[in-house]
Amino acid sequence: MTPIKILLALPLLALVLLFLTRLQNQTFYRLSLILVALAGLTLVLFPELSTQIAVAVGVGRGVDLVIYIGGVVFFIGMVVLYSKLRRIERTQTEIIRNMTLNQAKPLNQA
Amino acid sequence: MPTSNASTFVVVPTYNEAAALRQTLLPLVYEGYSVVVVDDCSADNTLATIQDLSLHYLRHPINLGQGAALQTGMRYAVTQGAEYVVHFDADGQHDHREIQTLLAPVKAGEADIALGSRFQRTDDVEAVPVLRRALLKVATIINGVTTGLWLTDAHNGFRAMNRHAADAIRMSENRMAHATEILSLIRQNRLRYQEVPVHIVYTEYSKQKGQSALNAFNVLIDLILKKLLL
Repeated sequence: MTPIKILLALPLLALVLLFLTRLQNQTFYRLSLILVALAGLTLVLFPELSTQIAVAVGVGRGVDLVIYIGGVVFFIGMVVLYSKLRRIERTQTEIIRNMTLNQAKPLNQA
Repeated sequence: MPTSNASTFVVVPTYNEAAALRQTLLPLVYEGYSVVVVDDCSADNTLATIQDLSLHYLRHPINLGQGAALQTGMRYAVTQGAEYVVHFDADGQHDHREIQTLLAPVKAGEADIALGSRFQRTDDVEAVPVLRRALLKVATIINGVTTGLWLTDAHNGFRAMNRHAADAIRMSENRMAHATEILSLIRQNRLRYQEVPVHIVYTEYSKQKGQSALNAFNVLIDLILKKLLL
């Protein structure tokens, strides 16, 4: 076990624990995040694995494969976050609108 | 018309328009329309400049955008029993005398919503700055493709509708993309629509406040993302 392995594995392990205790009502998110973290952990502990998979899918080097997958995961994460933000914005708008309507005042109405 | 203008609610969304707002509102109030000012959390002295006018004043506690302000105003108008709702810009680029022109097909029962167009009379077209004309042409094509409504004008904020349409149109685009979203909602709710020629006054003030080409690009991106994500 080299120091870098411990350095990379510990945060990933912490993430797995975090997802195990959080997101109780979102089984799908929970499971997929745990799987991703576990996959990361496996690659950290057995780096040769990434090269074997890379060769199998036709990429060549394990590092490249990790970068490509990382890019895709990053993009998906952005899209998920974006749609969540939209949802929050919509809720916020609804709350603000109701506040506004409750406080509406006719100025100088006959 | 036997009913007075009071059943026509003119919704004027406003954001830091204190310099022009009063001049825009005076004729509307004078003609007896029910004026609904939706102040989208302006930082200037908007309220102070219109405090003595007879109108409905609504204020968002935080800035949400023009689409959200219009939607708030429409909801308010409907709850207040509006028969007709008109969208009117705060910066003075719409002519209050054209409200009745715009409302005519709605009042006649020929349309649920009337959309102002700058591209139906040659003298109106010529009043539009050349660059903006080209931009709007592109926008009509994008609108046509994305909403299925092929109109002669795009992003014309001058609209008039009956109660049914005001209740059916529920926008969720808070910012400028609402102009295109309204078209989608017209189609989804099977509202009858008509384009009516209107004149837009391009003052130095309104030009400066108007949308830039960059903004149009942002609107486009927003709509594409919305198509993909919802």
